[in-house]
Amino acid sequence: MRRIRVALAGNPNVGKTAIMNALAGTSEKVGNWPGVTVQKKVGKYNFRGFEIELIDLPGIYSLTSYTLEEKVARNFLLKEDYDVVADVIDVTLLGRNLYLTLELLEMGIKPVIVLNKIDELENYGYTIDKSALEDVLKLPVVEVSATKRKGLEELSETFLRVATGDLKPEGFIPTYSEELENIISLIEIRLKEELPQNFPFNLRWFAIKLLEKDPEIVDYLKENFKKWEKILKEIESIEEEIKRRHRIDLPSFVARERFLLASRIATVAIRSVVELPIEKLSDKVDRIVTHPLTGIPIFFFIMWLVFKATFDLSAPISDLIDNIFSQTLPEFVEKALSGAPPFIVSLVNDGVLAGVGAVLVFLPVLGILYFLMSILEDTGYMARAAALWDNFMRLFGLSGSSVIPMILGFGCNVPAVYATRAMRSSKQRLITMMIIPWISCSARLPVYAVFTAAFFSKNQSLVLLSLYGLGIALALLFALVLSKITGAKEECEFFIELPPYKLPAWNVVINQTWIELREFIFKAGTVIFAVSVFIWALASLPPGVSYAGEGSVVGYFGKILLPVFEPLGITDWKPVVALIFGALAKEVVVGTLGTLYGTGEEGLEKALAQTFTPESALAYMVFTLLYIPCVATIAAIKQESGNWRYPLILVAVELTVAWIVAFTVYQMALLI
Amino acid sequence: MTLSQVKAGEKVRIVNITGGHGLKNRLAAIGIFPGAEVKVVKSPPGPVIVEVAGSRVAIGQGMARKVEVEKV
Repeated sequence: MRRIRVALAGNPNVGKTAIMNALAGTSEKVGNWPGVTVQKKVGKYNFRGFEIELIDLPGIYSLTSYTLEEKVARNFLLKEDYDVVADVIDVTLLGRNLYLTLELLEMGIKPVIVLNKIDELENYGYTIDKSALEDVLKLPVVEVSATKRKGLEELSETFLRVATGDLKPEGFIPTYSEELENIISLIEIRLKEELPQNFPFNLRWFAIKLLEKDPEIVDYLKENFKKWEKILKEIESIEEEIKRRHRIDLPSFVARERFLLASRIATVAIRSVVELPIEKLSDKVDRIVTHPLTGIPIFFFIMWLVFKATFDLSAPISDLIDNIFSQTLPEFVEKALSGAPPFIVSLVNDGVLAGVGAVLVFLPVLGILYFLMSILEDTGYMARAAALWDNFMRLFGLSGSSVIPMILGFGCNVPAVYATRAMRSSKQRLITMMIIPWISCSARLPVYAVFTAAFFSKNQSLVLLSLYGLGIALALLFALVLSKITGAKEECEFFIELPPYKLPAWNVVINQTWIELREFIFKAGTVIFAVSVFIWALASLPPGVSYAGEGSVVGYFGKILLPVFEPLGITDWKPVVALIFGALAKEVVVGTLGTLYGTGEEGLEKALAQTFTPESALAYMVFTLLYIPCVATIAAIKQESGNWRYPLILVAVELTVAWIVAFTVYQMALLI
Repeated sequence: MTLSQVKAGEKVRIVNITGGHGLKNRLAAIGIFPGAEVKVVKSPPGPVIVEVAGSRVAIGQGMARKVEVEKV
């Protein structure tokens, strides 16, 4: 079967995901572009004996090389192998979307124009003249509604016809004002004087990008043209002239010409049939939800609802799954394997079943959260929330869209890491993922509860608040450090587009939720399972020892590591072993302590009172708050960043910081 | 006058934008460049919202102060 590769290009919010979903169903695979943390989605489907592969390029407004997303999209279009480029356009914003189309045409690409959201056009009082647009752009144009599943057959057919050469789009060459055209020709001539062999770019495009001072293109010029200094000087003097005449710098001048041409083309194709009121109801709503006085309470109310729904609705299902894998099935296994060595029974029950349970227990919370996040995004609220918080988060080198993932982190870090998917800037997204583990999730609460009850019964809430505060403060501090290191500050979103409010497309939401759960099971789930079994092995080997007891491997590690913890006031190996188990999930620390002290969770307070002092208890809580993310969070960060490097750096930083802060807290507490 | 000082409902023309090429280029791609006219939908406190080329765009106050405008 012949394969056809179709690259989907377009602005953010144009419905590329919906088109992917409508065409390729749930075949979508989520990964990363090589070497970067930008998400890559690929889907495939069969059409008339061809396999059509859809590659979703990052949503971008233009094809410069200022952001990671733009670079990824541009490098794909310049260097990779594909048969068709589909330029997905939100037909309700035709003029602005055509800006990217003109850039594609400048590069020498002849895309299929996909006018999406065609069903929404009448809400805007417009009609569109498809053939007029085809005539101007000299490209095939297809009208589509991805959510209503209209025009899809014709779209696939157009892909097929372009890929097989049955349809050869001529492609319009964007032509600008005489003034700019003269400048472009001049630069083209200069470049031609010493064009390197195998020059890989469209010359006109290269010249235009030079005028736009595109960093990658300027670098290429410097490396491959001997007279680069002369060419750049010439461009400088052209810019002086443009500034004098138009009071605008050269790159902005080029961009403006392109934008104006795009708008002119749009007016050729669009007919306004009804005059709409200029002030929209949505403007009134926007003023309320993005004004700090009203917007912040509304934001916290919505977050409270999301929080409640996610964690309350999922709890009974998670409990049920937990029961099945920690009681029902183990009891059954014990009966079925009666007579087998206890080691084997333990392998099946405490190793394999516990590992599977540890993965499945996340499915309800992730499923509900994905669902709610897509609703927040599709309705348009997410963009407003990001706009509301943008100024404040900028203080820490973050952007407004980091707020929602961070808040979810208080419930559970794992879904919080996945919630960063809604963020546009990959660098900002990576930083947000890296700071989420510092935020105290609900699994850490049982640890605080036991220790505060044993040592700080009078100041319980003060201690709790301080721990939460410490987590937030370190998260923001770490964000600041990371944004300095990665240079993400320059990549802040300069603006946030506020898409119209609308109801979510339910079939897309449900399909996406399913795709994301599947990805979690195969990518993060395997890691979680493997680590669970590994820790079981540490606790059960050599065969015959009591689980996690003194003679086991993990007990041995506990004793070896004890000297590291002595400066924190910890004098027994058992709490150290509990920390190793805490890597599975932080609440496991309490259960392990109960098992090791032979008290269960009820009598634990008394046992702790004998091993810890209030000062060392404080240090132990601080350490639990800050040391390594749980394995599920590590797996999630690996899945989302596409690289083991990031979770490993995080583990190293967190361990170091946890020790230093716990040590400081312990020593200061001793002084008081 | 900067974009952060414009009252809601007013139309303004952009005179100048201070910032790097990355900023200017991305703003230009959505229709915010010297000479363009935008309508301010919301003014501070909170982000500035402008209507430009048919869409609504929120701009942080810090950014809005970098956009010099004049009344139309």
